[in-house]
Amino acid sequence: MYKIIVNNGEQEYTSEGDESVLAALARNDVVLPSACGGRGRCGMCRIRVFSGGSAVTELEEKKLTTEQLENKWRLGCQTMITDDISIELPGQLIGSAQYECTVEDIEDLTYDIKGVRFRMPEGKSIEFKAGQYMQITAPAYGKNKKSVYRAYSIASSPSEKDHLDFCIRKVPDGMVTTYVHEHLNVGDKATLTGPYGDFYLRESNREIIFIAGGSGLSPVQSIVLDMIDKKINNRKVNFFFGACTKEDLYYVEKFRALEKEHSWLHYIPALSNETDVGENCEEGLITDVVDRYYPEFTNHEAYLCGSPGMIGACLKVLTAKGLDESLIFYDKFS
Amino acid sequence: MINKLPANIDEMMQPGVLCKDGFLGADKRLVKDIIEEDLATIKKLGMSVDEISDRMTELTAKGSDLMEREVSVENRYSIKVRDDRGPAPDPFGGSPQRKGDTLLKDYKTGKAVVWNDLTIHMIREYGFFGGRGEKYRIEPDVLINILGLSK
Ligand SMILES: Cc1cc2nc3c(=O)[nH]c(=O)nc-3n(C[C@H](O)[C@H](O)[C@H](O)COP(=O)(O)OP(=O)(O)OC[C@H]3O[C@@H](n4cnc5c(N)ncnc54)[C@H](O)[C@@H]3O)c2cc1C
Ligand code: FES
Repeated sequence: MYKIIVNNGEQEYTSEGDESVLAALARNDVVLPSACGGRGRCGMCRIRVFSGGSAVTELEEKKLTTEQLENKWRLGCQTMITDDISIELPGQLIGSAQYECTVEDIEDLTYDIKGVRFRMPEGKSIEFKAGQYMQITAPAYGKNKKSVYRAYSIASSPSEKDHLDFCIRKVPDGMVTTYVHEHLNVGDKATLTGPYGDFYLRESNREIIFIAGGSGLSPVQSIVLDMIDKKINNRKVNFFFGACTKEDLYYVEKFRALEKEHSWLHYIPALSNETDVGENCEEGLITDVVDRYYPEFTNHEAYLCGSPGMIGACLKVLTAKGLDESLIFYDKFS
Repeated sequence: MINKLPANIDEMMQPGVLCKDGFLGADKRLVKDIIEEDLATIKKLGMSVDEISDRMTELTAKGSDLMEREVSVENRYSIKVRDDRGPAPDPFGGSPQRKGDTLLKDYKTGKAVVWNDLTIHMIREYGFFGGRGEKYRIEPDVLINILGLSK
């Protein structure tokens, strides 16, 4: 029997060996993030290994930089337990767990985004930071012989400890989104793990710029709701939400109502492919709209949530106007 | 181009392993044979995988970062690039690529095709165009024609 010593002895697990660190931790309800089912293909299951474990594999040499390898980073799914092993888990993983939730509601938010509300198991509650994500598992179905999981940002407030809301956009032929959109029903059970991620509101007195597109609205909504719950009303917030057409907008009424009630919040939807955008809506690409809004950045910080392309384009606009990269936050895996 | 394919590559390509429908479609050939045959076709046409993948990247860039707006490009194509999130794992073990399909209509040939960063990466790095019958496979000669690269 081998020991798995976590974070300098904060936690200790055992293993009979012949399994990966990812598998051993999962047996103990510590689920590392993954988008490849432990096949060494996604690079999401990173941990640090200080001693013990199998040698670094070719796959790890491809996925991790020389600097990361020198700093003891490994892939949890490729590191086999061969002896006592001492590891460090990213701080956010401590406290992550697996929950058998029940689908309480499914609603069409747009033609391709569904709002899904899960109820926590009886007697269990969840602690998370607004902006974090969970992994939702699709069980084996169709040609998928194994369950698979993907990351989804939580859309509800952390104060709601018995429920979790998500906005899930259908990806053509996607493994998990096809399951959610075509097979998941109210009353079904679903396995959720988490919370994960370091996308959350930093404490400061700076004005906040949120920029989101598509399903990227979720973490912003969670942060805004959390600010309301915590009565953080000394920071001005501009929330830019970019979409293509009116059909791609959702939760408009909800954000309109919130900004009416909270003078520090300003919601600015922008449509890039609509000739008549209507009242209180901007026309153009979200990056152009942000560019028009701010002559310069003096005391701001920005939070971005969307596709890598959107994040890249926003980074260019924000840094060109002098916003330091250290004041721009986004989920690096998204 | 890699010299040695991962030993489990044919398994990684099956439906339900890394993606819903797999990378091989109805093709019963081994991955190495699919690659060899396609590379031979490309060579015969006087092209290289770099030229093909560079042109795919160039066209994708023209439709990117537009919040999925469809754009007309080069008086010949309409391009729409989806903004999906999350990493798409590379079955060959290379870096994960970004999800988000590029939908391209070529008015000259009347053909519509779909690819993404993973497709381009697999063509560039491994000469892999997908198995026959797979959604993302575009026959190399057809692709070269659509990309306006025919010599
Ligand atoms: C931190 C984080 C938070 C996220 N939050 C949200 C959220 O709140 N809401 C949300 O909707 N999404 C969110 N995502 C994205 C989500 O995790 C999934 O990546 C997304 O839903 C797609 O999952 P899927 O299993 O349906 O698709 P997958 O099956 O993983 O991928 C489908 C895509 O893979 C590619 N592909 C599939 N087969 C092939 C092939 N044969 N050849 C080439 N390419 C192929 C194509 O691009 C296809 O569109 C988040 C991602 C991250 C990392
Ligand atoms: S789980 Fe994907 S690389 Fe380890």
